[in-house]
Amino acid sequence: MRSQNKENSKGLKIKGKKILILGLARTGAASARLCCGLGAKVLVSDIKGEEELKEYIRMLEGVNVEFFLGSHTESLLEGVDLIVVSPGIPGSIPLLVKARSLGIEVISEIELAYNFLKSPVIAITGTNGKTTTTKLIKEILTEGGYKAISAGNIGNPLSGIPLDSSEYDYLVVEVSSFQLEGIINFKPFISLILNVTPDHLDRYRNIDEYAETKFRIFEKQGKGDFLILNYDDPMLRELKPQGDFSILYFSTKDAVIKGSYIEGDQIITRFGSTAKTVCPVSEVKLEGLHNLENVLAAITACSICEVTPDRIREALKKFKPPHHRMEFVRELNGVRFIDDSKGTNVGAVIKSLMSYSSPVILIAGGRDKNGDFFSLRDLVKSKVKSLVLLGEAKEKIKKSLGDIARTIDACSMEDAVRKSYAAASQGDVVLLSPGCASFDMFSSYEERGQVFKKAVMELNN
Amino acid sequence: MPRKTKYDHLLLFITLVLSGIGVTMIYSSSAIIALEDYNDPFYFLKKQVLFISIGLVLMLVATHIDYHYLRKLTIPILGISFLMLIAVLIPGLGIEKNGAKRWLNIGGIVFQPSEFAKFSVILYTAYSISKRKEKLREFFNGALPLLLVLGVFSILLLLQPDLGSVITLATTVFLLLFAGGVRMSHLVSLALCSLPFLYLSISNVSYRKRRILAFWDPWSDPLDSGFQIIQSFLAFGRGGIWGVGIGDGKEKLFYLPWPHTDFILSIIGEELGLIGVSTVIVLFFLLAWRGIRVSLNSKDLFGTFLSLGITVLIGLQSAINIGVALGLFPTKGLPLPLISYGGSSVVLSLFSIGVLLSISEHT
Repeated sequence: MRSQNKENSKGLKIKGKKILILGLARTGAASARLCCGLGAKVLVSDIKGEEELKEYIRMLEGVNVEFFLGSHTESLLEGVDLIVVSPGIPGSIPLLVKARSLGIEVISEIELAYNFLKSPVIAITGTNGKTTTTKLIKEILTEGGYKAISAGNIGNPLSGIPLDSSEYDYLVVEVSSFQLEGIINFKPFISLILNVTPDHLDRYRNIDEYAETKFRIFEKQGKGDFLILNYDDPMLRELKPQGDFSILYFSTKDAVIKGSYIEGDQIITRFGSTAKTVCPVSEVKLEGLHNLENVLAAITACSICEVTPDRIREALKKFKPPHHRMEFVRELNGVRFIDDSKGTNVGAVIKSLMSYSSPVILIAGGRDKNGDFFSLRDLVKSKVKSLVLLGEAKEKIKKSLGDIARTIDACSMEDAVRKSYAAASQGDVVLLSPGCASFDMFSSYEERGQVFKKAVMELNN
Repeated sequence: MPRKTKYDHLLLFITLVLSGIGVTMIYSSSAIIALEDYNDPFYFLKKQVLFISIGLVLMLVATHIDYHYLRKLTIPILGISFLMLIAVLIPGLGIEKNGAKRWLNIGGIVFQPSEFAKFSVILYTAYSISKRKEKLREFFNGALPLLLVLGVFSILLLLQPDLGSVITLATTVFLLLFAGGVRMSHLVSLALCSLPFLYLSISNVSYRKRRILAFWDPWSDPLDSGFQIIQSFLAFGRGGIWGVGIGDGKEKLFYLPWPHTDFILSIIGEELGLIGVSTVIVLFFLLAWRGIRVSLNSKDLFGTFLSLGITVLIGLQSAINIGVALGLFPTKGLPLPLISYGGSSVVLSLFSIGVLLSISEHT
């Protein structure tokens, strides 16, 4: 099948070219495989060593690629026609700057894969909520009788989808802003921007630059395409995109003319001439206000695909929330424990805190991503009883918020959980929403969440 | 890439032109009366310029505030205007002029709460429709609360009495409800219910009855109830196509009562002719067109219905005032928005247009 589609590109030529894949891991391996299959000479480079990347090197067994591991050296660029960047690698690293100055085309992995895929793409970006929304859309479309597949950041690279994917009705793709930096032809049928809050400010100069990157998602969209924006996000509401595509909104506050919103206790979706009632808000089992936004976003996208309200309702009932994203863990003596380990930036902490009316014991800290903890002041003042601090960012958070909430130092996650529980009284919420990356103490946010959950389960009266 | 479309400049321009025509014609039509009554020919001009300045400041403020904030203020605004309408009726608080209790004096500032009340009911209606759009087809859970608010405010306005405001307000709210999807049968039956009251409020009040009779045949009572409309006709007749020129009109010389307020269009007809009157009418049409355009482009129901309400209210008042001056409707005490002399009317009109501009900014 693959050979039939070789020349079936939307513009990008691969055959006979010398291609450098930056970053191995799962995505890099998938792109390398794809490029080889299309008849290119493929080089793969990663700053990590052979030992760490074993697993992925094994994935490429029998594929004709050259590995350059341990560092990115500039000599690699010699004779290279095209560079494919894996997600997570910012466009500002010296090798890529050099490559651009040499006139070498730099694209992201989704751009590569997009050129060879046939099914319509639903692309989701935003600072927070991408993974949940991607999963929701996939589940609702499936419930609606479509063959849909989700791909992107969630461990399932787009370039790993077989090229004869015309068997899929929709490809639901989670797209990070780094990936959007390297797009050329990428043109989703439906694109969604969930929110734009400061994140990765360690990598972007300012919020506008970061937002501009997010807005590239609809750059190529045209007649017959759709853009879905969050009406509750001031920056997205005021956005006046130019183009022939239709714009829809979702909002938890305003009755939008085109899109989804909440009226009384019902979720309403309005697409075309009539408004349809989907289900009561209480049927949505996901924790938190931001998840309600994600649900509305997904409903809006699926209404465009003509999934009926009763199918949407059914899918919502069945949906299980992703781990570590406002995941309810346990209730012990009236204290509820919530795992939001995936809240790795201050914006996510804001969204999570906004969901609670009861007093919160907030466990935060980790590796700082240049976050603005001052922006939490109002919320912390009104909702947080105690701040339990962990990891490298401890002092910085204390400096920003120490004067308005009681702070408690913790030396490990287990210690943090114990001290939180001690500080909590009946009706309180213990929320792990670190606002930081996990790499100072854990290998990933997943591990951090697992450790938290384990510690919570081990608590006894 | 994202580009900010600014607020509707044409709408602002039309508003300023109408206010400009207003100031000019107020001076022309009131100078003699002002000289006679206040010994200062600029008396009304100066006050109107002050009102317009206040209105423009409020318009500027409204334009630059996101209209979504008004949502939160809806109930307080409605409450304040309700209290003001009550206060007007309390002897000592309300000021009575020409047999009507329409004015309130708060800290030396005299104004008509009815103008504010009209705006607040429109605001509330837009807010309610956006909150319960899908229920509007039901009666008790849907349209009834909105109609009750309209009913209470109408009664308070009738007690002043201000039938003109009730008619414009009720028509506007009915139109909003119709556009919002309330069943036609509900609206028609309610309208029919209100007819006996309308009949009573006209037949029981002698001046209203006489106005209606004068409307059918002004010449049946040319020196009393028919006097005003006959003078208005004479003004239009004398003006012809080109008008006698600004300042040269004669009707304002104590022939036509209220030449600078309710019957200012007659003076425009006399001094600027058919051309002047047509210009004013065209400008109001343009204003209504821009307003409806704002409404159609709005991205949420609140914006859609609020802009529609403001547009219809201003459009309807202009249409009725123009109709009265031309003898198409019986005499009603309604000012011509933006043009007639009167603080409350011009301030509220400019403020409402500011809200309209804010909605256009966010489309």
